[in-house]
This record gives sequence, C-alpha cells and structure tokens, in this order.
Amino acid sequence: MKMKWAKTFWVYLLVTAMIGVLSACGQSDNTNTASGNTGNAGNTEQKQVVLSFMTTWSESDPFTGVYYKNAMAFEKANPDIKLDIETIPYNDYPVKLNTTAAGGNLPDLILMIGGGSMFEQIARSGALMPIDDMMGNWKEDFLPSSKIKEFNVDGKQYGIPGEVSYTTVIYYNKKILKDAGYTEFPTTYEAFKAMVKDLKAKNITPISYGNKTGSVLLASLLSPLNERISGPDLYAKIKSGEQKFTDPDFMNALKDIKELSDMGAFNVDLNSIDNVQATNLFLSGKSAMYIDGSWGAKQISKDKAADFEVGFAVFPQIEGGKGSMSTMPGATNQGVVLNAKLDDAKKAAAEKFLQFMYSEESYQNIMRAGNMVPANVTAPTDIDPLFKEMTGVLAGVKGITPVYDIVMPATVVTATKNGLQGLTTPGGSTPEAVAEDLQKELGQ
Amino acid sequence: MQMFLRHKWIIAAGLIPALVIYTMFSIYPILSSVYYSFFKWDGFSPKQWHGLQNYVNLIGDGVFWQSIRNNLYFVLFSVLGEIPLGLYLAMMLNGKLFRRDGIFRTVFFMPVVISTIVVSLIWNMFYNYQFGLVNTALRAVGLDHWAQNWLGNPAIAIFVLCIVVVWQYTGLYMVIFLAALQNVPSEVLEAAELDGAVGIKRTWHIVVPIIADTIFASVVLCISGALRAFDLIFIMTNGGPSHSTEVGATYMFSQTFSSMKYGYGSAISTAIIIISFGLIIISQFILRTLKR
Repeated sequence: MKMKWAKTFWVYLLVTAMIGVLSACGQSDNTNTASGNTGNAGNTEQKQVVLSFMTTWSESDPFTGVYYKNAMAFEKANPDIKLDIETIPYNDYPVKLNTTAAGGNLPDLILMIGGGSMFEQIARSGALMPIDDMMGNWKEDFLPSSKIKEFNVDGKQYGIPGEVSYTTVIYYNKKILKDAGYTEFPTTYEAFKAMVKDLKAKNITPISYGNKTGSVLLASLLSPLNERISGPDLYAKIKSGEQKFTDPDFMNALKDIKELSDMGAFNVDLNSIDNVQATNLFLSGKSAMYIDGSWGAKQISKDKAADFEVGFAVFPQIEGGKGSMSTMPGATNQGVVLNAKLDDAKKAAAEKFLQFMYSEESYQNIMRAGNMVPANVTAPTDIDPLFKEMTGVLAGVKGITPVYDIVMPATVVTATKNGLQGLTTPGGSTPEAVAEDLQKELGQ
Repeated sequence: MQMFLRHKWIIAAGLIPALVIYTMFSIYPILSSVYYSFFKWDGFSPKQWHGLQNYVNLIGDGVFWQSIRNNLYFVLFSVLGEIPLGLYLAMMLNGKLFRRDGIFRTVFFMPVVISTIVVSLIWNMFYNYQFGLVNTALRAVGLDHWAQNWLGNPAIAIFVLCIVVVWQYTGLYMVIFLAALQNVPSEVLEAAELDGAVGIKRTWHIVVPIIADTIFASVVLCISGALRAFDLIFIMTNGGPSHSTEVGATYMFSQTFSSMKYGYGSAISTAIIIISFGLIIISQFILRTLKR
C-alpha cells in the first residue's frame, strides 16, 4: 500500500518536473530570438538582428496596409534584419501601449499612431530613444521640421510621421444633394444648417457619424466648430487657464452640437455604430453626408459603387467667428519610435529601418494608398483619382490646428468623448453640464 | 484515509503549485490594487500619496453609482431570468416529450459554448437600427414606431443587454438543473402522483425542495457572474452612450486605462470587491433563511 502511494507520488513529481522543463525550454527559446544573437561569440555565421515591433499595421487593412507592405519591402532588402511584428487592433492600441510602457515592457520599435499627451508622457519617462543623431538622414527641404514637430518633445526628436491627416472632411452624395436642389456645397454655417433642416424635412438623414468609440464627434465635429468659432488656439488657452470650458467660446460649440442633434441632423444610431458602419450607411444612399477625417476617403474609394458620386467639402465658415476655412484641425500620424534600451547593433538596424520607412519611395507608396504626407515628394502619377480630387478641394487649407487629444490630458479626452455622446443622445446631458464636467476634470 | 493523515506533506506538495499560482496571479494583484488605491498615479510619473481622497471622490461620483446600479440590474435579470428559465427548460427536457432528443439539449446549451465576442457581434447585428433583425421584423408587421435604436437609447440599453446575458447563460443553468433532476428518485415522484400531486403542485412541493441545494448554488454562481460582467458590454456598447450601460468593471477599465487614473481605477476595483462580498453575504443569508 505504502509502496503504491510512493510510486504515484513520484510519477506525479516526474510529470510536474517535465512540464517545468518543457516550459522553461520554450522560454529560453524566446529570449534567444528576442535578443537577436547579438554579441554571441560562438556564432560564426552572419548575425541576424531581430527587432521586435509593436504596431497596428496589417496587410489587409485599407488604412495601414501600405505601411505593412513598406515594412515587408524593408525586410526583403535587408536580409540581415528581421522584424518580429506584433499587430494590435487600432482601438485597443492605446491601452496596450500605455500598459506596456507603464510596465517597462516596450518592444524595440513602437508605433505611435500620433503625437499627443500619451506619447509625450512616455517620452518624458525616458523609455524612448531620441533620434536627433539620425536626423541628418533627412534634409530640411525634404522633411520640414514644422511638419514633424508633433513627434518632438522638449526639443528632442523621437520619430517621424508617415502621413498628415485632417480630422474633418465632409463627404457628400452629389446625387442626393442635387435632387434636393443643392448644386454647390454651402460655405457658411447658417446655409449649412438650413440645408440640413431642408434635407431632414425631405425625410433624408442629413449626416451619418459612427461615434461608438466617442472619438469621431470629438475630432470631426467639436474640433472644427471650436476652430471656426474661436480660432486655432482655444485648447491651449483652456489648458493654460486663460479660458474655461464654461466660457461662451467653448459653450457655443457644445450648443451648436446639441442644436444639430435636436434638429435630427445625425443618424439615430450614431453612438452605437462605428465609422465603418457609418460609411456603409452613406455609401448605400441612406444619408446625404458623411463626416470623418481625411482617412475616411480610403474606405469610400474602396467600397463605393461605380456610379456613386462623392463630393468633398471643407467645414463651412461661421459668421463672426475667429476661425477661417483655410485652417483645419489636423494631425501627423504613423511614426515609429525606438526603445531607449536598444544596444548598438539594434540601434543601427533601427536607423536603417527608419531611413527606409520614411524615404521618398516609401512616402510615394503612402500617397498611392490615399494619404497626404508631411514630406515634399513628387506625387506619383498613378494615385487614386478620388484622392486626387479630395486633395484638390483641401488645397486651400494652409494651416493646421492641433487636435484636442494632442493638447488635452487623457482624462479630459475621455470625459469629452462621453460628454459628446451625452449631448447627442435623446434625454442626455445639457451643454452646461458637459462643460462643467470637463472643467472639473481638467482641474483635478 | 489514514494514508492522507500520515502524509500531510504529500497533500501539501499537491496543493503548493496551485496555491503559488493563485497567490501570484490573484491574491497579490488584489492586494497591490488595494495599495495603489491610496495614490494618485498615472502609471508613469511617481505615485503621490492621496490618502482616502480616491474613495471620497468615488462616493461623490455619479457615474460609479450608476454603474453599480447597472450591475444590480444584471444581478436581478440573471437571478430572476436565467434560473427560472433554466429550470423550466430543464423540466421540459426531462419530461416524456423531449427526453430522448439530445438535439434540444445541444441547441439550448449552444450559447454557453459560443465565445462572448461572437455572441456580442451577433446581437449587435440583431439590434442594429437600420438593418437589424429586430427592427426589420417590427417594420415588417407594421410596428414601425416600435422600431428603435436599441443599444443607443439610454433608457432601455441596459435592459436590452440584460436580454442577451439571459440568452447566453440560461443554457448553463439548464444543464446544471437537468443533472439535478435526473437524480430525483422516480419512486418519490410516483408516490406523489398517487397522492394526487401533479403539474405545478408536484414541481413546487416535491421537485424544487429536492433540488434546492443545486438552485442555491446556482444563485451564487449567477450573482458572481453578473457582478463580473465585462466582455459583452465592452464589445457591444463600450459602456456608452455616455455611461448609460457602464458597469463596475467597464468603468474601472476606462478610468484606469483610457483616462490613465491608475489610483482611482484601483479604488473602483476595491469598491467592487467590497460590494460583491456584501451581495454574496446577503444572498447567502437570504437563502439560508429560505432553507429553514
């Protein structure tokens, strides 16, 4: 009896030990690849440097596919460097980035979707490597420093953006507007509102938005309204305390949103669907307009029916406002930054990677995919005609105002997203309550 | 048995691996989260001692209480929906009509097996305002004014989500009850029938008391499950519009990871633990009184 027990016990112990050994093996394997065999004396073959890379880029994504393909081209051209890519979905990326950075577990290369408070916080914590010593690779007349300043913190450059985007472009269905009697898109806000009212009276949903995540109304309605009413520097003034959320400038923008919502300007389910679904509403002719950033053009161009005619418009002028139609809220995006802990071999590989990813050829690919770029490159001849038309309409826009999420702390951004959802929900919040909430959040 | 007592170290050796893992991944994070709740911390800059301020803010935070109220709706719907429905289905399947048909058992259990992400996406499509099944069906029978934005209307969104939860988990309790029902001795049922107890009477006075222990255990499972609710809401509405479908766990998540208030988020999770403990103790107390 005792023998049998002892035997069972030893078998159990053996199994446990085996599991331990197996999992340990797996682990050491991983660390080997992660450290990329650098400085291994016994290794006589040519060393391959492995760079771990956290990103949202994926091959089939209409928004980032081109970056993925550029990265693949880099790997092909540099067989001695391997990218170990971890792809995170766009919506989950900020959380993932924030937690890995807070935990000190950042990979070698990290995508920054944009500049802004989170990026600046990570950079100031010392987790990222400044690339000032590499900036000689890019001449000022190719990549003007004014276009890359969102990736500059306290005078140190950390990355280079791949594209420039405006957060508000009005896409409209030419046929619907023509049938309703509008051949020209209104250039004043009053005329725009009158058109919205008119469309609504004709039983057409005027504007579709996909605000489930809360970020669309912030970027593509509140931001342009703020710019048109108060000029380009309202957020900076509010942040510094010179103005308040509860002051008339900001309040008027909130009231305008509430007014639009009350007159039925938006699709009823704007806060329950995402921007892909909202684009589909627009493309299936269920709404006259769709408002989103300039990135929205990609899905429209890809999914629209052949005979669907899209028009592009700049957010209209508000009478008596301090802003103008030649300015637009916008941001620079898709910059790859480096982990501060890279050793020399990895740093050299990373420099090669940046040189490749932000070269004239790569930028031209990015333009072909329907993006505006921060660099001065000759436009390729084979770009999407729809995109070309959009850049033509946007050509009059000269200045970029920093967007809300770049300027405001994360807690205020979250509160604003919720406040805007409340404003546009039946029985939701009042502009006054939202503004007070935000002021309280900023003060904390 | 004697073997066990003489070799306590064998038992200990068997328990230690599980205990170590449990401590590392469950106890330690809970304790450190309690510790963080006393700080003001954004995850990067040094922590600032904040005393009980996070908890003071929490008590004055309307959204937090709304999220707890939504949690309570979830508990109510789960306990009063999943358990009676599960019991009903189990009795149906245990009855003469369906007893031999395994197919129904599979059908009702299916939602439990499907991943929550899939469940959420399917129901999101059902509830879609423009193209969704629910609204299309209502419009087809001429009830156009009943068609509405199910997930976007703050007055009803949380109840609409409750329906999904009930749909998802009823099957689980059905299987548990089915197992319990099959252990009810047939002699007892036959004797009851001879004495004239049939239908509802037999169910209420004979069957339910026999499987009472199973029902009580299910209630506890149900409550803790409803308090933990996160994934379904996170995918279907993300707590919106404007916090109307926020539950404790989603609010904790958005405060911690979107607003980067690690200290406040930790305070929320600590409060959730305390409230959950309270609810479980209350429910145990009620059930024990009922038992007597």
